[in-house]
Amino acid sequence: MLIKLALNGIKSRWKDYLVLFSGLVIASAIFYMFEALATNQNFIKQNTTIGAAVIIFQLGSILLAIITLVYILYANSFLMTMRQRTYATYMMLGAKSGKIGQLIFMETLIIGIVATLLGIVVGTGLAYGVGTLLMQRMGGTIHNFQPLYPLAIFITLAFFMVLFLIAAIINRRQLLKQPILKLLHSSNTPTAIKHRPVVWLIEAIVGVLLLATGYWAMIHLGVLGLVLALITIVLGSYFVFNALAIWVLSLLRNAKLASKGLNKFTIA
Amino acid sequence: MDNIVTVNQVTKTYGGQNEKSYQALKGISFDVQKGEFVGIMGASGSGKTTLLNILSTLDTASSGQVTIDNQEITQLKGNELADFRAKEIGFIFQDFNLLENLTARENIALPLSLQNVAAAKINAAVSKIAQRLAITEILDSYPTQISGGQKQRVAAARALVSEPAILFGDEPTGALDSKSARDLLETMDDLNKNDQVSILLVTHDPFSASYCQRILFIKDGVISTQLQRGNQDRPTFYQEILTTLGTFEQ
Ligand SMILES: Nc1ncnc2c1ncn2[C@@H]1O[C@H](COP(=O)(O)OP(=O)(O)OP(=O)(O)O)[C@@H](O)[C@H]1O
Ligand SMILES: [Mg+2]
Repeated sequence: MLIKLALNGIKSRWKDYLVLFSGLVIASAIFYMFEALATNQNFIKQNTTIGAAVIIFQLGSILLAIITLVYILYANSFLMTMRQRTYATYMMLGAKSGKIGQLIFMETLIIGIVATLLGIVVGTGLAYGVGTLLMQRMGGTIHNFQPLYPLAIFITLAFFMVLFLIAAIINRRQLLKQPILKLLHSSNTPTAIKHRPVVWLIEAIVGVLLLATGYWAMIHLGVLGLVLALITIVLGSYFVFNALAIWVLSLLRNAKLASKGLNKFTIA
Repeated sequence: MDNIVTVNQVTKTYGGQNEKSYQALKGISFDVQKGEFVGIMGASGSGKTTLLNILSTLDTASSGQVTIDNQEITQLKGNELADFRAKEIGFIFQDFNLLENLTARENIALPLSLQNVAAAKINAAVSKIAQRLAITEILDSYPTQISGGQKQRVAAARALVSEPAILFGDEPTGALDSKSARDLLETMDDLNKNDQVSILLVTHDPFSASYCQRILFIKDGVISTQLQRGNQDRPTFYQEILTTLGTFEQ
Protein backbone atom coordinates (compact mmCIF):
# COMPACT_ATOMS: atom_id res chain seq x y z
CA MET A 1 0.00 0.00 0.00
CA LEU A 2 2.86 2.36 0.84
CA ILE A 3 4.41 1.86 -2.59
CA LYS A 4 1.01 2.29 -4.14
CA LEU A 5 0.47 5.61 -2.37
CA ALA A 6 3.93 6.80 -3.35
CA LEU A 7 3.42 5.85 -7.00
CA ASN A 8 -0.01 7.42 -6.90
CA GLY A 9 1.45 10.63 -5.61
CA ILE A 10 3.77 10.75 -8.58
CA LYS A 11 1.03 9.80 -11.01
CA SER A 12 -1.33 12.44 -9.70
CA ARG A 13 1.14 15.22 -10.37
CA TRP A 14 2.67 13.65 -13.44
CA LYS A 15 2.28 16.61 -15.77
CA ASP A 16 3.86 18.98 -13.28
CA TYR A 17 6.57 16.52 -12.40
CA LEU A 18 7.47 16.15 -16.06
CA VAL A 19 9.08 19.57 -16.46
CA LEU A 20 11.13 19.17 -13.31
CA PHE A 21 11.79 15.57 -14.16
CA SER A 22 13.24 16.48 -17.54
CA GLY A 23 15.63 18.85 -15.78
CA LEU A 24 16.76 15.99 -13.56
CA VAL A 25 17.20 13.65 -16.51
CA ILE A 26 19.30 16.23 -18.31
CA ALA A 27 21.44 16.97 -15.30
CA SER A 28 22.20 13.30 -14.85
CA ALA A 29 22.71 12.83 -18.60
CA ILE A 30 25.34 15.56 -18.78
CA PHE A 31 26.90 14.32 -15.59
CA TYR A 32 27.14 10.84 -17.05
CA MET A 33 28.53 12.16 -20.30
CA PHE A 34 31.33 13.96 -18.49
CA GLU A 35 32.02 10.96 -16.33
CA ALA A 36 32.03 8.59 -19.29
CA LEU A 37 34.53 10.78 -21.10
CA ALA A 38 36.68 11.43 -18.06
CA THR A 39 36.86 7.89 -16.69
CA ASN A 40 37.31 6.01 -19.96
CA GLN A 41 40.89 4.82 -19.42
CA ASN A 42 41.37 3.32 -22.89
CA PHE A 43 40.17 6.44 -24.47
CA ILE A 44 42.41 8.68 -22.38
CA LYS A 45 45.60 6.59 -22.60
CA GLN A 46 45.51 6.19 -26.31
CA ASN A 47 44.80 9.80 -26.95
CA THR A 48 47.32 11.91 -25.11
CA THR A 49 46.23 14.94 -27.07
CA ILE A 50 42.88 14.64 -25.41
CA GLY A 51 44.44 15.04 -21.96
CA ALA A 52 43.40 18.65 -21.62
CA ALA A 53 39.85 17.84 -22.53
CA VAL A 54 39.77 15.07 -19.93
CA ILE A 55 40.64 17.55 -17.20
CA ILE A 56 37.76 19.66 -18.38
CA PHE A 57 35.41 16.72 -18.21
CA GLN A 58 36.49 15.70 -14.75
CA LEU A 59 36.35 19.21 -13.35
CA GLY A 60 33.20 19.73 -15.35
CA SER A 61 31.44 16.90 -13.64
CA ILE A 62 32.39 18.34 -10.26
CA LEU A 63 30.98 21.70 -11.20
CA LEU A 64 27.95 20.01 -12.65
CA ALA A 65 27.52 18.18 -9.39
CA ILE A 66 27.25 21.49 -7.59
CA ILE A 67 24.77 22.86 -10.12
CA THR A 68 22.77 19.66 -9.91
CA LEU A 69 22.62 19.86 -6.15
CA VAL A 70 21.21 23.38 -6.38
CA TYR A 71 18.77 22.33 -9.08
CA ILE A 72 17.55 19.30 -7.16
CA LEU A 73 16.96 21.35 -4.06
CA TYR A 74 15.04 23.88 -6.10
CA ALA A 75 13.02 21.28 -8.01
CA ASN A 76 12.45 19.56 -4.77
CA SER A 77 10.87 22.50 -3.03
CA PHE A 78 8.34 22.71 -5.85
CA LEU A 79 7.62 19.01 -5.80
CA MET A 80 6.93 19.36 -2.11
CA THR A 81 4.61 22.33 -2.56
CA MET A 82 2.54 20.23 -4.93
CA ARG A 83 2.35 17.40 -2.47
CA GLN A 84 1.78 19.31 0.77
CA ARG A 85 -1.98 19.00 0.74
CA THR A 86 -1.92 15.29 0.17
CA TYR A 87 0.54 14.71 2.97
CA ALA A 88 -1.54 16.96 5.22
CA THR A 89 -4.59 14.83 4.41
CA TYR A 90 -2.65 11.72 5.39
CA MET A 91 -1.70 13.35 8.67
CA MET A 92 -5.25 14.46 9.30
CA LEU A 93 -6.36 10.86 8.82
CA GLY A 94 -3.85 9.68 11.38
CA ALA A 95 -0.60 8.96 9.55
CA LYS A 96 2.36 9.03 11.92
CA SER A 97 5.36 11.17 11.07
CA GLY A 98 7.35 7.99 10.45
CA LYS A 99 4.86 6.92 7.81
CA ILE A 100 4.95 10.34 6.18
CA GLY A 101 8.74 10.13 6.17
CA GLN A 102 8.65 6.72 4.46
CA LEU A 103 6.27 8.03 1.81
CA ILE A 104 8.45 11.05 1.10
CA PHE A 105 11.56 8.90 0.84
CA MET A 106 9.89 6.50 -1.48
CA GLU A 107 8.47 9.18 -3.75
CA THR A 108 11.70 11.12 -3.94
CA LEU A 109 13.81 8.02 -4.52
CA ILE A 110 11.51 6.57 -7.19
CA ILE A 111 11.67 9.85 -9.09
CA GLY A 112 15.41 9.94 -8.51
CA ILE A 113 16.16 6.43 -9.72
CA VAL A 114 13.98 6.70 -12.81
CA ALA A 115 15.44 10.11 -13.70
CA THR A 116 19.00 8.91 -13.21
CA LEU A 117 18.53 5.73 -15.25
CA LEU A 118 16.92 7.69 -18.07
CA GLY A 119 19.70 10.23 -17.75
CA ILE A 120 22.32 7.52 -18.18
CA VAL A 121 20.61 6.32 -21.35
CA VAL A 122 20.47 9.84 -22.76
CA GLY A 123 23.99 10.49 -21.46
CA THR A 124 25.31 7.45 -23.30
CA GLY A 125 24.04 8.96 -26.53
CA LEU A 126 25.58 12.30 -25.67
CA ALA A 127 28.88 10.70 -24.71
CA TYR A 128 28.99 8.78 -27.96
CA GLY A 129 28.31 11.93 -29.97
CA VAL A 130 30.77 14.12 -28.13
CA GLY A 131 33.41 11.36 -27.97
CA THR A 132 33.20 10.78 -31.71
CA LEU A 133 33.43 14.47 -32.36
CA LEU A 134 36.48 14.82 -30.15
CA MET A 135 38.20 11.90 -31.87
CA GLN A 136 37.65 13.41 -35.25
CA ARG A 137 38.85 16.84 -34.18
CA MET A 138 41.91 15.55 -32.40
CA GLY A 139 42.81 12.73 -34.69
CA GLY A 140 42.33 9.67 -32.47
CA THR A 141 40.92 6.30 -33.33
CA ILE A 142 37.32 5.70 -32.58
CA HIS A 143 37.15 2.00 -31.68
CA ASN A 144 38.59 2.41 -28.16
CA PHE A 145 35.79 4.51 -26.83
CA GLN A 146 32.91 2.89 -24.97
CA PRO A 147 30.10 5.31 -24.32
CA LEU A 148 28.45 2.81 -21.95
CA TYR A 149 31.11 2.63 -19.29
CA PRO A 150 30.44 0.72 -16.02
CA LEU A 151 32.53 2.93 -13.77
CA ALA A 152 30.78 6.04 -15.08
CA ILE A 153 27.40 4.40 -14.59
CA PHE A 154 28.30 3.51 -11.04
CA ILE A 155 29.59 6.98 -10.18
CA THR A 156 26.51 8.63 -11.69
CA LEU A 157 24.08 6.34 -9.91
CA ALA A 158 25.85 6.65 -6.58
CA PHE A 159 26.17 10.39 -6.81
CA PHE A 160 22.52 10.97 -7.71
CA MET A 161 21.23 8.57 -5.10
CA VAL A 162 23.11 10.52 -2.46
CA LEU A 163 21.65 13.76 -3.82
CA PHE A 164 18.10 12.43 -3.75
CA LEU A 165 18.60 11.04 -0.29
CA ILE A 166 19.62 14.49 0.89
CA ALA A 167 16.60 15.93 -0.89
CA ALA A 168 14.30 13.43 0.81
CA ILE A 169 15.70 14.28 4.23
CA ILE A 170 15.17 17.98 3.60
CA ASN A 171 11.66 17.32 2.31
CA ARG A 172 10.72 15.38 5.37
CA ARG A 173 12.07 17.99 7.75
CA GLN A 174 10.37 20.87 6.01
CA LEU A 175 7.03 19.16 5.77
CA LEU A 176 6.86 18.00 9.36
CA LYS A 177 7.95 21.43 10.59
CA GLN A 178 4.86 23.15 9.26
CA PRO A 179 1.50 23.32 10.99
CA ILE A 180 -0.97 20.85 9.51
CA LEU A 181 -3.65 23.50 8.95
CA LYS A 182 -1.32 25.53 6.78
CA LEU A 183 -0.46 22.46 4.72
CA LEU A 184 -4.09 21.50 4.40
CA HIS A 185 -5.00 24.86 2.93
CA SER A 186 -1.95 25.22 0.71
CA SER A 187 -2.44 25.50 -3.00
CA ASN A 188 -1.66 22.48 -5.14
CA THR A 189 0.13 24.25 -7.96
CA PRO A 190 3.13 26.41 -7.26
CA THR A 191 3.10 29.38 -9.63
CA ALA A 192 6.78 29.15 -10.46
CA ILE A 193 6.26 25.89 -12.32
CA LYS A 194 4.28 27.57 -15.02
CA HIS A 195 7.43 28.59 -16.88
CA ARG A 196 6.90 31.17 -19.58
CA PRO A 197 8.23 30.62 -23.10
CA VAL A 198 10.28 33.83 -22.84
CA VAL A 199 12.22 32.25 -19.99
CA TRP A 200 13.10 29.20 -22.10
CA LEU A 201 14.13 31.37 -25.00
CA ILE A 202 16.43 33.44 -22.82
CA GLU A 203 17.75 30.25 -21.26
CA ALA A 204 18.49 28.77 -24.68
CA ILE A 205 20.20 31.92 -25.98
CA VAL A 206 22.30 32.36 -22.86
CA GLY A 207 23.19 28.68 -23.06
CA VAL A 208 24.39 28.92 -26.67
CA LEU A 209 26.38 32.06 -25.89
CA LEU A 210 28.02 30.33 -22.93
CA LEU A 211 28.90 27.29 -25.03
CA ALA A 212 30.35 29.45 -27.79
CA THR A 213 32.42 31.41 -25.27
CA GLY A 214 33.64 28.18 -23.74
CA TYR A 215 34.85 26.60 -26.97
CA TRP A 216 36.36 29.87 -28.14
CA ALA A 217 38.25 30.26 -24.86
CA MET A 218 39.48 26.68 -24.99
CA ILE A 219 41.04 27.21 -28.41
CA HIS A 220 42.40 30.72 -27.96
CA LEU A 221 43.20 31.35 -24.31
CA GLY A 222 45.43 28.53 -23.03
CA VAL A 223 45.27 27.56 -19.34
CA LEU A 224 43.05 30.45 -18.32
CA GLY A 225 40.80 29.50 -21.20
CA LEU A 226 40.44 26.00 -19.80
CA VAL A 227 39.08 27.29 -16.52
CA LEU A 228 36.71 29.65 -18.28
CA ALA A 229 35.66 26.92 -20.69
CA LEU A 230 34.98 24.62 -17.80
CA ILE A 231 32.47 26.96 -16.24
CA THR A 232 30.79 28.16 -19.39
CA ILE A 233 30.52 24.78 -21.08
CA VAL A 234 28.90 23.14 -18.10
CA LEU A 235 26.44 25.95 -17.56
CA GLY A 236 25.84 26.32 -21.28
CA SER A 237 25.14 22.61 -21.83
CA TYR A 238 22.72 22.61 -18.96
CA PHE A 239 20.82 25.69 -20.14
CA VAL A 240 20.55 24.55 -23.72
CA PHE A 241 19.44 21.02 -22.95
CA ASN A 242 17.00 22.13 -20.30
CA ALA A 243 15.42 24.78 -22.50
CA LEU A 244 15.11 22.27 -25.31
CA ALA A 245 13.52 19.66 -23.09
CA ILE A 246 11.00 22.06 -21.61
CA TRP A 247 10.15 23.36 -25.04
CA VAL A 248 9.49 19.87 -26.38
CA LEU A 249 7.43 19.01 -23.31
CA SER A 250 5.29 22.12 -23.63
CA LEU A 251 4.71 21.31 -27.31
CA LEU A 252 3.52 17.84 -26.33
CA ARG A 253 1.35 19.24 -23.62
CA ASN A 254 -0.24 21.84 -25.86
CA ALA A 255 -0.90 19.22 -28.49
CA LYS A 256 -2.69 17.13 -25.90
CA LEU A 257 -4.69 20.11 -24.64
CA ALA A 258 -5.68 21.06 -28.16
CA SER A 259 -6.98 17.59 -28.96
CA LYS A 260 -8.90 17.54 -25.69
CA GLY A 261 -10.46 20.91 -26.51
CA LEU A 262 -11.42 19.59 -29.89
CA ASN A 263 -13.05 16.56 -28.32
CA LYS A 264 -15.13 18.71 -26.03
CA PHE A 265 -16.08 20.86 -28.96
CA THR A 266 -17.21 17.98 -31.16
CA ILE A 267 -19.11 16.34 -28.34
CA ALA A 268 -20.95 19.59 -27.64
CA MET B 1 -25.00 10.65 30.91
CA ASP B 2 -21.46 10.37 29.56
CA ASN B 3 -19.80 13.27 27.85
CA ILE B 4 -17.99 12.48 24.65
CA VAL B 5 -16.60 16.00 24.30
CA THR B 6 -15.90 18.47 27.10
CA VAL B 7 -14.66 21.93 26.27
CA ASN B 8 -13.47 23.99 29.20
CA GLN B 9 -12.52 27.69 29.02
CA VAL B 10 -10.85 27.39 25.64
CA THR B 11 -9.28 30.51 24.19
CA LYS B 12 -7.55 31.01 20.89
CA THR B 13 -5.47 34.03 20.03
CA TYR B 14 -4.20 34.45 16.48
CA GLY B 15 -1.11 36.43 15.60
CA GLY B 16 2.46 36.13 16.80
CA GLN B 17 4.59 38.46 18.84
CA ASN B 18 5.13 41.02 16.13
CA GLU B 19 1.72 40.84 14.52
CA LYS B 20 -1.57 42.30 15.57
CA SER B 21 -3.13 39.66 17.76
CA TYR B 22 -6.78 38.70 17.59
CA GLN B 23 -8.68 36.62 20.11
CA ALA B 24 -11.11 34.44 18.16
CA LEU B 25 -12.23 32.31 21.12
CA LYS B 26 -12.60 33.92 24.52
CA GLY B 27 -12.98 31.16 27.03
CA ILE B 28 -15.62 28.93 25.46
CA SER B 29 -17.10 26.03 27.44
CA PHE B 30 -19.68 23.38 26.55
CA ASP B 31 -20.03 19.64 26.24
CA VAL B 32 -21.46 17.05 23.91
CA GLN B 33 -22.99 13.88 25.25
CA LYS B 34 -22.45 10.43 23.85
CA GLY B 35 -24.83 9.87 20.96
CA GLU B 36 -25.83 13.50 20.70
CA PHE B 37 -26.21 15.48 17.45
CA VAL B 38 -25.12 19.03 18.23
CA GLY B 39 -25.00 22.03 15.93
CA ILE B 40 -22.87 25.13 16.24
CA MET B 41 -24.15 28.28 14.62
CA GLY B 42 -22.82 31.81 14.48
CA ALA B 43 -22.13 34.71 12.15
CA SER B 44 -19.20 34.64 9.79
CA GLY B 45 -16.00 35.25 11.72
CA SER B 46 -17.52 34.25 15.05
CA GLY B 47 -14.95 31.48 15.53
CA LYS B 48 -16.80 28.31 14.45
CA THR B 49 -14.04 26.95 12.26
CA THR B 50 -11.44 27.94 14.83
CA LEU B 51 -13.30 25.94 17.44
CA LEU B 52 -13.74 22.91 15.25
CA ASN B 53 -10.07 22.94 14.22
CA ILE B 54 -9.08 22.85 17.88
CA LEU B 55 -11.52 20.04 18.66
CA SER B 56 -10.26 18.01 15.72
CA THR B 57 -6.60 18.51 16.80
CA LEU B 58 -5.71 20.33 13.59
CA ASP B 59 -4.94 23.46 15.62
CA THR B 60 -4.00 24.08 19.22
CA ALA B 61 -5.84 26.15 21.81
CA SER B 62 -4.06 29.07 23.44
CA SER B 63 -5.46 28.01 26.79
CA GLY B 64 -8.14 25.76 28.27
CA GLN B 65 -8.86 22.04 28.08
CA VAL B 66 -10.60 19.80 25.58
CA THR B 67 -11.45 16.24 26.54
CA ILE B 68 -12.63 13.78 23.90
CA ASP B 69 -13.58 10.25 24.90
CA ASN B 70 -11.86 10.75 28.27
CA GLN B 71 -8.59 11.93 26.75
CA GLU B 72 -7.22 15.40 27.29
CA ILE B 73 -6.29 16.27 23.70
CA THR B 74 -4.49 19.58 24.13
CA GLN B 75 -1.48 17.69 25.49
CA LEU B 76 -1.28 15.04 22.78
CA LYS B 77 1.85 14.95 20.62
CA GLY B 78 3.55 12.93 17.92
CA ASN B 79 2.42 9.33 17.48
CA GLU B 80 -0.18 9.58 20.23
CA LEU B 81 -1.77 12.44 18.36
CA ALA B 82 -1.67 10.48 15.10
CA ASP B 83 -3.31 7.47 16.74
CA PHE B 84 -5.92 9.69 18.30
CA ARG B 85 -6.79 11.22 14.94
CA ALA B 86 -6.98 7.83 13.32
CA LYS B 87 -9.14 6.15 15.96
CA GLU B 88 -11.17 8.71 17.84
CA ILE B 89 -12.28 11.39 15.39
CA GLY B 90 -13.64 11.67 11.89
CA PHE B 91 -14.18 14.86 9.95
CA ILE B 92 -15.89 16.05 6.85
CA PHE B 93 -15.30 19.42 5.25
CA GLN B 94 -17.10 21.63 2.82
CA ASP B 95 -14.61 20.80 0.05
CA PHE B 96 -14.59 16.99 0.65
CA ASN B 97 -10.82 16.73 0.74
CA LEU B 98 -10.73 13.45 -1.18
CA LEU B 99 -7.58 12.38 -2.99
CA GLU B 100 -8.34 12.66 -6.69
CA ASN B 101 -6.09 9.84 -7.79
CA LEU B 102 -7.47 7.23 -5.47
CA THR B 103 -10.77 5.45 -6.04
CA ALA B 104 -13.58 5.93 -3.56
CA ARG B 105 -12.67 2.57 -2.07
CA GLU B 106 -9.03 3.55 -1.60
CA ASN B 107 -10.02 6.92 -0.19
CA ILE B 108 -12.25 5.28 2.38
CA ALA B 109 -9.57 2.73 3.25
CA LEU B 110 -6.90 5.37 3.75
CA PRO B 111 -7.24 5.94 7.52
CA LEU B 112 -6.92 2.19 8.07
CA SER B 113 -4.09 1.58 5.60
CA LEU B 114 -2.11 4.47 7.04
CA GLN B 115 -2.44 2.74 10.39
CA ASN B 116 -1.17 -0.56 8.95
CA VAL B 117 -4.43 -2.41 9.51
CA ALA B 118 -4.50 -5.82 7.78
CA ALA B 119 -5.99 -5.86 4.28
CA ALA B 120 -8.76 -8.32 5.12
CA LYS B 121 -9.93 -6.17 8.00
CA ILE B 122 -9.80 -3.06 5.84
CA ASN B 123 -11.91 -4.67 3.12
CA ALA B 124 -14.54 -5.77 5.60
CA ALA B 125 -14.71 -2.34 7.22
CA VAL B 126 -14.93 -0.53 3.89
CA SER B 127 -17.70 -2.81 2.61
CA LYS B 128 -19.65 -2.35 5.79
CA ILE B 129 -19.56 1.43 5.87
CA ALA B 130 -20.12 1.69 2.11
CA GLN B 131 -23.25 -0.38 2.44
CA ARG B 132 -24.41 1.75 5.33
CA LEU B 133 -23.97 4.94 3.29
CA ALA B 134 -25.37 3.41 0.09
CA ILE B 135 -22.24 3.99 -1.99
CA THR B 136 -21.34 0.40 -2.82
CA GLU B 137 -21.90 1.00 -6.55
CA ILE B 138 -19.44 3.84 -6.80
CA LEU B 139 -16.63 2.30 -4.76
CA ASP B 140 -14.41 1.85 -7.79
CA SER B 141 -15.03 5.28 -9.24
CA TYR B 142 -12.62 8.16 -8.92
CA PRO B 143 -13.76 11.38 -7.24
CA THR B 144 -13.95 13.20 -10.58
CA GLN B 145 -16.47 10.63 -11.81
CA ILE B 146 -19.04 11.11 -9.07
CA SER B 147 -21.37 13.91 -7.96
CA GLY B 148 -20.81 16.32 -5.10
CA GLY B 149 -23.32 14.53 -2.94
CA GLN B 150 -21.62 11.20 -3.60
CA LYS B 151 -18.22 12.72 -2.87
CA GLN B 152 -19.44 13.90 0.50
CA ARG B 153 -20.79 10.43 1.23
CA VAL B 154 -17.41 8.96 0.39
CA ALA B 155 -15.82 11.55 2.66
CA ALA B 156 -18.29 10.61 5.39
CA ALA B 157 -17.47 6.92 4.88
CA ARG B 158 -13.77 7.71 5.20
CA ALA B 159 -14.48 9.66 8.38
CA LEU B 160 -16.51 6.82 9.86
CA VAL B 161 -14.58 3.75 8.69
CA SER B 162 -12.51 3.52 11.86
CA GLU B 163 -15.64 3.94 14.01
CA PRO B 164 -14.53 7.17 15.71
CA ALA B 165 -15.92 8.47 18.97
CA ILE B 166 -17.26 11.57 17.24
CA LEU B 167 -17.85 12.94 13.76
CA PHE B 168 -17.01 16.59 13.14
CA GLY B 169 -18.44 18.47 10.18
CA ASP B 170 -17.52 21.99 9.09
CA GLU B 171 -20.27 23.13 6.70
CA PRO B 172 -20.37 19.69 5.02
CA THR B 173 -23.43 20.68 3.03
CA GLY B 174 -21.92 24.01 1.98
CA ALA B 175 -20.95 22.90 -1.52
CA LEU B 176 -23.96 20.67 -2.17
CA ASP B 177 -27.20 21.33 -4.02
CA SER B 178 -30.29 21.30 -1.82
CA LYS B 179 -31.30 17.73 -2.64
CA SER B 180 -27.84 16.28 -1.94
CA ALA B 181 -27.61 18.43 1.19
CA ARG B 182 -30.92 17.04 2.42
CA ASP B 183 -29.81 13.47 1.65
CA LEU B 184 -26.59 13.93 3.56
CA LEU B 185 -28.40 15.41 6.55
CA GLU B 186 -30.94 12.58 6.55
CA THR B 187 -28.03 10.13 6.51
CA MET B 188 -26.32 11.87 9.41
CA ASP B 189 -29.59 11.87 11.31
CA ASP B 190 -30.00 8.15 10.59
CA LEU B 191 -26.43 7.35 11.69
CA ASN B 192 -26.99 9.33 14.84
CA LYS B 193 -30.32 7.71 15.71
CA ASN B 194 -29.62 4.15 14.72
CA ASP B 195 -25.85 3.74 15.08
CA GLN B 196 -25.42 6.14 18.00
CA VAL B 197 -22.80 8.16 16.12
CA SER B 198 -22.06 11.37 18.03
CA ILE B 199 -21.98 14.35 15.69
CA LEU B 200 -20.85 17.95 16.02
CA LEU B 201 -21.91 20.01 13.04
CA VAL B 202 -20.79 23.56 12.31
CA THR B 203 -23.12 25.41 9.99
CA HIS B 204 -24.59 28.81 9.31
CA ASP B 205 -27.52 27.29 7.47
CA PRO B 206 -30.71 27.09 9.61
CA PHE B 207 -32.05 24.21 7.53
CA SER B 208 -28.99 22.05 8.23
CA ALA B 209 -29.10 23.08 11.87
CA SER B 210 -32.71 21.95 12.19
CA TYR B 211 -31.53 18.32 12.00
CA CYS B 212 -29.61 18.73 15.26
CA GLN B 213 -30.97 17.97 18.72
CA ARG B 214 -29.27 20.94 20.27
CA ILE B 215 -27.80 24.09 18.83
CA LEU B 216 -25.11 26.24 20.39
CA PHE B 217 -24.94 29.84 19.20
CA ILE B 218 -21.47 31.27 19.23
CA LYS B 219 -20.94 35.01 19.34
CA ASP B 220 -17.80 37.02 20.03
CA GLY B 221 -15.87 33.88 20.89
CA VAL B 222 -18.21 32.45 23.52
CA ILE B 223 -21.48 30.51 23.57
CA SER B 224 -24.19 33.15 23.85
CA THR B 225 -27.27 30.97 23.89
CA GLN B 226 -28.48 27.48 23.03
CA LEU B 227 -31.61 25.84 21.67
CA GLN B 228 -32.90 22.38 22.52
CA ARG B 229 -35.07 20.61 19.97
CA GLY B 230 -36.80 18.40 22.52
CA ASN B 231 -39.92 16.84 21.09
CA GLN B 232 -40.53 19.40 18.39
CA ASP B 233 -40.70 18.20 14.81
CA ARG B 234 -38.08 19.50 12.42
CA PRO B 235 -40.12 22.22 10.67
CA THR B 236 -41.15 23.71 14.03
CA PHE B 237 -37.57 23.62 15.24
CA TYR B 238 -36.50 25.26 11.99
CA GLN B 239 -38.90 28.14 12.67
CA GLU B 240 -37.54 28.47 16.19
CA ILE B 241 -33.99 28.66 14.86
CA LEU B 242 -35.01 31.39 12.44
CA THR B 243 -36.63 33.35 15.24
CA THR B 244 -33.58 32.97 17.46
CA LEU B 245 -31.29 34.04 14.64
CA GLY B 246 -33.52 37.07 14.09
CA THR B 247 -33.29 38.29 17.67
CA PHE B 248 -29.66 37.21 17.82
CA GLU B 249 -28.56 39.37 14.96
CA GLN B 250 -29.72 42.62 16.61
N1 LIG C 1 -5.02 31.82 10.76
C1 LIG C 1 -5.61 32.94 11.22
N2 LIG C 1 -4.87 34.03 11.53
C2 LIG C 1 -5.45 35.15 12.01
N3 LIG C 1 -6.77 35.29 12.22
C3 LIG C 1 -7.57 34.25 11.92
C4 LIG C 1 -7.03 33.03 11.40
N4 LIG C 1 -8.05 32.15 11.19
C5 LIG C 1 -9.16 32.82 11.56
N5 LIG C 1 -8.88 34.07 12.00
C6 LIG C 1 -9.85 35.05 12.51
O1 LIG C 1 -10.56 34.47 13.58
C7 LIG C 1 -11.93 34.80 13.50
C8 LIG C 1 -12.77 33.55 13.50
O2 LIG C 1 -12.55 32.85 12.29
P1 LIG C 1 -13.29 31.50 11.91
O3 LIG C 1 -12.73 30.99 10.64
O4 LIG C 1 -13.23 30.59 13.09
O5 LIG C 1 -14.77 32.00 11.70
P2 LIG C 1 -16.07 31.18 11.25
O6 LIG C 1 -17.04 31.34 12.34
O7 LIG C 1 -15.70 29.81 10.87
O8 LIG C 1 -16.54 32.00 10.00
P3 LIG C 1 -17.25 31.49 8.65
O9 LIG C 1 -18.69 31.33 8.94
O10 LIG C 1 -17.01 32.62 7.70
O11 LIG C 1 -16.59 30.23 8.23
C9 LIG C 1 -12.10 35.67 12.27
O12 LIG C 1 -12.13 37.03 12.66
C10 LIG C 1 -10.88 35.39 11.47
O13 LIG C 1 -10.51 36.53 10.73
MG1 LIG D 1 -15.73 28.69 8.99
